[in-house]
Amino acid sequence: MLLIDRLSCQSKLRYINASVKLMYAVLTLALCVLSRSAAVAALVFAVNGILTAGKGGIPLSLYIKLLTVPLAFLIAGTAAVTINISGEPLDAFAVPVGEWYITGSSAGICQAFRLCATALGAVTCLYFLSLNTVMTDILAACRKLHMPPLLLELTLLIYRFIFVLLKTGTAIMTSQQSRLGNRDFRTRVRSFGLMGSSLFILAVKRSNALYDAMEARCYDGSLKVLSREYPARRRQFAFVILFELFLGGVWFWCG
Amino acid sequence: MSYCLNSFLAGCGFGVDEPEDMEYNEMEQEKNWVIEVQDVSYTYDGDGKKALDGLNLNIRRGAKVAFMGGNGSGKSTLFLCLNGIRRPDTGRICIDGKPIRYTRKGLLEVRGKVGIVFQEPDDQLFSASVYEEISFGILNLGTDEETARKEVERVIEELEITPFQDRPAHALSGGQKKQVAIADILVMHPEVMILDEPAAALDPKHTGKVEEIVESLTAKGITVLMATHDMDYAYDWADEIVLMHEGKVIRQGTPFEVCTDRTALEQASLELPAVVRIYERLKEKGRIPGDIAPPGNVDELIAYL
Amino acid sequence: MPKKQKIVTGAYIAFAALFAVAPVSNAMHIMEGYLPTGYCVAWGVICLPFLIAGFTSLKNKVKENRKNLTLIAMSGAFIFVISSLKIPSVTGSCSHMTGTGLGAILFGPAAVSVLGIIVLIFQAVLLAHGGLTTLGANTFSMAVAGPLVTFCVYKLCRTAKADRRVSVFLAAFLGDIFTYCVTSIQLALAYPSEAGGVAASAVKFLGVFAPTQLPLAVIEGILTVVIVIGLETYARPELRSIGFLSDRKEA
Repeated sequence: MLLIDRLSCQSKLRYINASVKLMYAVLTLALCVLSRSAAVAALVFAVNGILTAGKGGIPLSLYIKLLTVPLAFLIAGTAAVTINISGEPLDAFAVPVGEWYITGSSAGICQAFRLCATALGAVTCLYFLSLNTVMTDILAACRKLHMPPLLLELTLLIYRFIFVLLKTGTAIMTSQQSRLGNRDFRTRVRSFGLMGSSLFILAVKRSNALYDAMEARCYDGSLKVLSREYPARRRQFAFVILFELFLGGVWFWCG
Repeated sequence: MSYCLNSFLAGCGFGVDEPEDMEYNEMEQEKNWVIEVQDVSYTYDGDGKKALDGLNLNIRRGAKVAFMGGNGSGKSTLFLCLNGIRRPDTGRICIDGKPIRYTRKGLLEVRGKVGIVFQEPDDQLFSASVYEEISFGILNLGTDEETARKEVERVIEELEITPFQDRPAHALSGGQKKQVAIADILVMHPEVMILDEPAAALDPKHTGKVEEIVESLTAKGITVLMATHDMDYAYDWADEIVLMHEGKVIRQGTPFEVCTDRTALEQASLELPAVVRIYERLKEKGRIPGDIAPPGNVDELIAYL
Repeated sequence: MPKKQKIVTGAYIAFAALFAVAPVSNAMHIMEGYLPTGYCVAWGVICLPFLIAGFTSLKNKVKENRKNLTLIAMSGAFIFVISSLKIPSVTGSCSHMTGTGLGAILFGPAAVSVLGIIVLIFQAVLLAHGGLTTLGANTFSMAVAGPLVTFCVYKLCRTAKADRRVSVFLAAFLGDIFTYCVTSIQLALAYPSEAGGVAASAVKFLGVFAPTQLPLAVIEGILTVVIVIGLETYARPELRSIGFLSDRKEA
């Protein structure tokens, strides 16, 4: 149902230790955002592309499609950063509109360019993590980091329940559409609202049933589970550390 | 059985057993009851009607018992009472001769012995990972991690879950989810396994798989209680059939005994199994001798012809 | 499980549902890597007290009755699902609900902060809406500020004896608008304009997102009302227990 979730199960990098992948994604993301350097971002973008689409086996067309998801925000946001409306024209461009100028400075354009680069590089880090790691493995890695148990339990349950409700929600919407529930705007609003309230009531019922099932298996207040372990290899750790050091070097050198 | 015969003979004036022997037989019977339900009633909050109404029931250890009855007859409610999820308003339930204690420890003990596989796997599977899902029950029993892993892997292999053990729960088919749901309970080594309509919404292939799994349960000595609407399957598989109607047990006995009780069947809105219908028709027409034992299944019937 | 708790938990669910953040092409989530490090950390720190308060509140709810755990989790899932399903839009474009409205109205803002951040994490990982570095900023605008405004507006309207539907609409609508304003200010603070500083930048960001956000806020207001009316029709006893219908103040 959710594309990224489906792809993560098919990734060839799926069985690499999740903690290593998490460490890589987070460190690279941090360096990318901290440096705000176009050089670092470009490198990160390229390496992640190779890792995800190349080694991970994610179809390139889908990878590109996913990269366009944040584009709308990026374009809108960058336009807002670059373009000024001011009485004084700035040095890069100035389009007079009555008394005012729609204008931008070269420093501003430079900043916008670095912003786009950083954002795109950062997004590929996020995609590396989400496209090559199954969510349950990410949660298992977080469990090892000793995050608050209640938070992790909620996250584990929410992840599973999302799919249970998505199935029901889409079924209700399909059924509504089959009965002309999307005839006009007003009907569509009513249909969605009814779906929302029905889904809510079903969610409450389901949660009771699920709790009974957990109790039936001796649930005693803490959600203890065992995860499959894919042991980390020293070579992978080494790669991550070396790569981060290299990125650090690029940042220092190219600025 | 021998107890019934003895009481009958005793009733006829043949004092077959001495009183002490009778008591001993009774005790023997009780030791064999893995489940005893005594006068249990239960009403859901806000409901007017009783879901269970003074229900009495005994289940022998190692038996294969089919529960049948219309929707709303109380089967699911009874199952939930048997492992302490629902506490009856009146009466009591004994597991292994001991009444259920509704304390934390008592309930944990019951649930370690009596496991329920719910009808709807989506009401039971709470984790997206099959491995994590199955490990839940056995960890809750206090098993150490290493042993738990071994048990989880053993059950995965036994129930042929290996091909899809790495898929997330939401990507599994209904039949695969059902296999995982059964594994969830089997890993806990229960003495009693309750299956609430296990073949509901399953294709023939997976229904067959479930039937295989159920056979292996009995081979292990696990008492199996199954709610089903499939009369033919129940007649073939079960040692005993329990007919329920409006929160009561209206008939309990061997499949043939139950099936020849027309009134009870009608009350429970059930039809005769095909085997019995054909058998009776053939008997009527004189195609098979009337003194022959009733067939247990289709193969036996064919053998008579 | 006592009715009251069922309702309160029900509220969590509703709340969670409402909390749903940002639509596909409507950009209320700040995307990954967009904010400078300092701001990422700062917004995260600002959120912390609210998150801690919410977390403590949830912990107590679960301690009171363990059954609340699955109920609260369902709420979180509900919010995510509501936010990922396409809602009807006048223009026909792809729009999604945010959900700050319903949840805040039914449950109050405290626990929604925690459910919100979890939903945001899932949206970042599963839908690429928002990001991990911008989690702090997004949590503040969508899980803290918006719900607070919705809750206060709703309570004010009810105290002033306004019509229920109007109260719900105004609360949901204004909560959405406030979230959109907060996001614009967050962006403006990080990228002040060369001509006019933070203020001018805020105006620019507000302007750029207005065409999508304003209609969305209206539709969300309407949808929230419809869902609430739906719940009132089918889940009246539960709602009455939370005090939703009788107007008792319930945090």
